Amino acid sequence: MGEMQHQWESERARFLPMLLAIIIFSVLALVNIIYLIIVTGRRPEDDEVHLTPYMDRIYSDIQLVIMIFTLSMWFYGLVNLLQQYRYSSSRGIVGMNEYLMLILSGTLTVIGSIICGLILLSMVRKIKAKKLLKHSLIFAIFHGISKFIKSFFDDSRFSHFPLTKSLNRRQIIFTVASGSMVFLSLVFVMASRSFLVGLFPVFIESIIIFWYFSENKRTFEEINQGFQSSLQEQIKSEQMKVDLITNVSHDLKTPLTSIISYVDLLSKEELPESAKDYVNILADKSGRLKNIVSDLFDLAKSTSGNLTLDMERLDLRKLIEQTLGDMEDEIDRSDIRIRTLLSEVPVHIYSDGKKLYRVFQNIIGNALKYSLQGTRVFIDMVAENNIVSVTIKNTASYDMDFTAEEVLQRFSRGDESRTTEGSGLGLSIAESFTWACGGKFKVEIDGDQFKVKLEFPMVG
Amino acid sequence: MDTAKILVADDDREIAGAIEKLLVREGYEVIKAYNGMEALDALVSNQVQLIVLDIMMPKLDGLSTMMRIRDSKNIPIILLSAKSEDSDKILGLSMGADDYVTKPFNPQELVARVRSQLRRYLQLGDKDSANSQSKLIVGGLCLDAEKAELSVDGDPVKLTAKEFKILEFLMRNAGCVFSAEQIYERVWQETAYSVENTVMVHIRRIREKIEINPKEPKYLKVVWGIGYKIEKI
Repeated sequence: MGEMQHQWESERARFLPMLLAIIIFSVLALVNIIYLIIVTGRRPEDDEVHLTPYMDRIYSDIQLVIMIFTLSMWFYGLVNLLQQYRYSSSRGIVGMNEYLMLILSGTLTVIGSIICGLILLSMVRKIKAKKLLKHSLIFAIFHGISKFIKSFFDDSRFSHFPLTKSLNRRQIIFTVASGSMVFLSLVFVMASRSFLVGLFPVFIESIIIFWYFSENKRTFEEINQGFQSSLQEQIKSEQMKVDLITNVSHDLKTPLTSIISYVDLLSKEELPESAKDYVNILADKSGRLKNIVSDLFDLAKSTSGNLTLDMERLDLRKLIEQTLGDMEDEIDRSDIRIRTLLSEVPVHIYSDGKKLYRVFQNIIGNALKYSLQGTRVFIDMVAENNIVSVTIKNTASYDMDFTAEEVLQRFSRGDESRTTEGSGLGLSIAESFTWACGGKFKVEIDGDQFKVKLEFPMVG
Repeated sequence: MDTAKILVADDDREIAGAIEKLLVREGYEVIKAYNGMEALDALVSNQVQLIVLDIMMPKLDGLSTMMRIRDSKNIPIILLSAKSEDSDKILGLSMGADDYVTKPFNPQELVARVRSQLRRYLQLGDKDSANSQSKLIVGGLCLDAEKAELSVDGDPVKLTAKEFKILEFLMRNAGCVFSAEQIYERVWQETAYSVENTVMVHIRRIREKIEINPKEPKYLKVVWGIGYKIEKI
């Protein structure tokens, strides 16, 4: 008795601190968990719920399965360990050391609680974000299926197109009716064991097919008619646009011809000094007006898709060199130097050389006009993956307080106050011509750097 | 030589009047017509040496008028038009026009073109038909390889040795396109290495000497991205 008492006392003395520790740590763990549950998903800077990447992307039901699996593995492991310990200690076999058991069960608990804790917090975040149920595999599957079925019957996409809507509805009716006829004929044959009875649904099916085809034919004809008339409408409006451009062009150019001619005649007359100045201004401005009108019609023709193109295989590197040679006087007169980095070998593209010359002339002309004195204009050419890109970079002499989109808008000019020449259409024409010639045109503004990037597909 | 008589046909009276005054100031005699029919009538009763013809005219348009004139006469015709497309120019020139000027035109350029056409028309025959062996003739360009002389519409033009050689080479092969490398190797007799700019600059200089409007050359053309050629006229 005394020995039992003694053993009990010694066991108690050993287990009491352990129990106490368990209680204290459990309370601590509980407090910790509650704290984490409260704070998870929150950030000090706002009131939003933030989901954690990776962890919260796992579907809730999969998380739950993992958690249950982990918990049961943990429980199973603990029970197993305890049994082995009991078994070995009751037999007095020196096998399972007490410390080994503690370390193993501790490790098991740590792993289990990390996994379960992470999953628990993730689920808490999802609850906070009201996404726990929606973000589950089961929900996703059902949602996908219901969406698929809905899309089958949904004709909201065709709400503006009554003809295709009726086609779609007819298709649904046809499919469902045909399906049920097949099913009916099977049932009939099975029930009556007679082949003839089974023919009845086939008869109905053929009526359905006849109806389906004749109705569809009518709808198709209507669609064709609508398409045809809209095509004709488009051709007509296109023709009107061309006529408008031609007529307006003629109506503007005719009086302008008179103005320029008579100003020229006037300038040859004996005039007082002040009148001569006025005539010079008139000559200057009418000349500028001539350029603007001509640019304007080039642009109108090009943007309305009525540019006559003369496409041929040409060497883009050569074209740039020719353009630079052609503009040499202009370049020499300016304070700007041109630095080129062109391809070593010919770069062939399929394009309209005359139009492309206008493109490069306008871009380089602009660069010369609007560059800071003493700076350089860089022309770089890179041929890669059958695409050749040319970049023309310059440093602006003024504050470019506009965006790349704005600069391409018609009549926008970099520096309104300083320029008196040019139509302000140069870059727009360059852009429009480039697209018409089968290239791409992009403007980038980076601080004081003004960059035009052109791209063309190469040909062999 | 009498003063040349020029027929100006344009339905816009102010433009016709302006052209008249511009040409009279240069010492030419001018008759005006305001549509195609009037122009044809005026040709019957007058001995005309050159016609300035607007394309868009009422009653009978410029192109039809030109075709009727070409049935009987070989005098130079300069077409005037507000249409500036290349295709319009090519159409006009292929139908028998000698030159094509787009509205609004530079008055001095029109006068220069009239003068050039007249000089060629009036001086043709006594000069060019002679010893044409060493002479290369393309339109109004006349290049004498032996004497190393060039004249444009009868006016002598001074070229540098290299410019002359380039022009001679291109004129000998009028209508053919040559790359800068080909031109360089023929003219400089050296291997060409990045010569595009050199050749282009020479071409531009030649153009400034022989063309009335170097920006819209009639003879010496750049085929962008390919090479250079003398138009076969």
